[in-house]
Amino acid sequence: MIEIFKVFPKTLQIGFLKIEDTVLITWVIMGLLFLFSLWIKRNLSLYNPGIFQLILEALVEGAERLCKEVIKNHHYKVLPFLLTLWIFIGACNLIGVVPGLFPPTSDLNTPLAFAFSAFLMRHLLGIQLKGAKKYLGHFFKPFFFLFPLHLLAEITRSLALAIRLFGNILSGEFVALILLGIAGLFLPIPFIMLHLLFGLLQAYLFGILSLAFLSQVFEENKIPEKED
Amino acid sequence: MDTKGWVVLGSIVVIGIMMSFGSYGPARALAKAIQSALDAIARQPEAASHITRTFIIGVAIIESIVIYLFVIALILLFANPLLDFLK
Repeated sequence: MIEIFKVFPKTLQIGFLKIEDTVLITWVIMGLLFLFSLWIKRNLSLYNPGIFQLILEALVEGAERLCKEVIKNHHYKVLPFLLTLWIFIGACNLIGVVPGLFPPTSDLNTPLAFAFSAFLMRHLLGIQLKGAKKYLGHFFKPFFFLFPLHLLAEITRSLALAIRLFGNILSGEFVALILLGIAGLFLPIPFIMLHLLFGLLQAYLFGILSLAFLSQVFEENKIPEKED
Repeated sequence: MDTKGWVVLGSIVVIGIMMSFGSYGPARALAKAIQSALDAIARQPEAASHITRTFIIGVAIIESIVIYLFVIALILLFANPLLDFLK
């Protein structure tokens, strides 16, 4: 990891438990988001909304419209997951601007954890909607021998999701560091600004790709659509 | 030069070739994708949001090819597994 100022200790020893700095920064982000949501909950207002309230309302409305387009019914089951991914990964990518902190997503373990949560979400939703026997049975669907290929597809899909986020964020950090080494203080600034945009774009992409993978579960089951 | 030096030299040369050729193909693919998306949006502006979403997913998948190469380059540069065989 790239650290210059060493605000955080590299590892924190609690008893026999060793906690890395990535986890510490993730906890800081979680605390900041928690405090932010408490603050915004106190300042909610119907007639005089603040700027953050308007931004968050636009975000929720956009996510809801997106979920409704991709998943026809049951979209409320996926909406909280999608919003959590967007806000949390976006905060993780943007925390690198603060001096002394690095984005936790530039450590491979964090994107792997996100991808694993999407993996679990997909299969648990599938089991909940279709029943364990029917859902797990579709892995053996055309032939019994295709089971390893289905398994491989699931694993590589999650791995690709994680490595895409990791590589993008780490490459941004590396570009800034190398330019700092070559040219001094002011040349990396436009690249860091571009990297801010890419961080938000990658958070959006992670959410939307997870949504696309989740929507396959909904497409395969034959729930008759309600006529309105 | 001893064997370790040759392995390091080979890794560096391979990284250079891999990154240059590996970013050429996705660059062409990105150009084609952006061109088609712009054409489609100009022809049908009311479908712009739908096209943009699909376009962003496609661009991400094209881009991830270069990202995989970048990760392989990082592994070869900083955590080369081949050097362990020489000990």
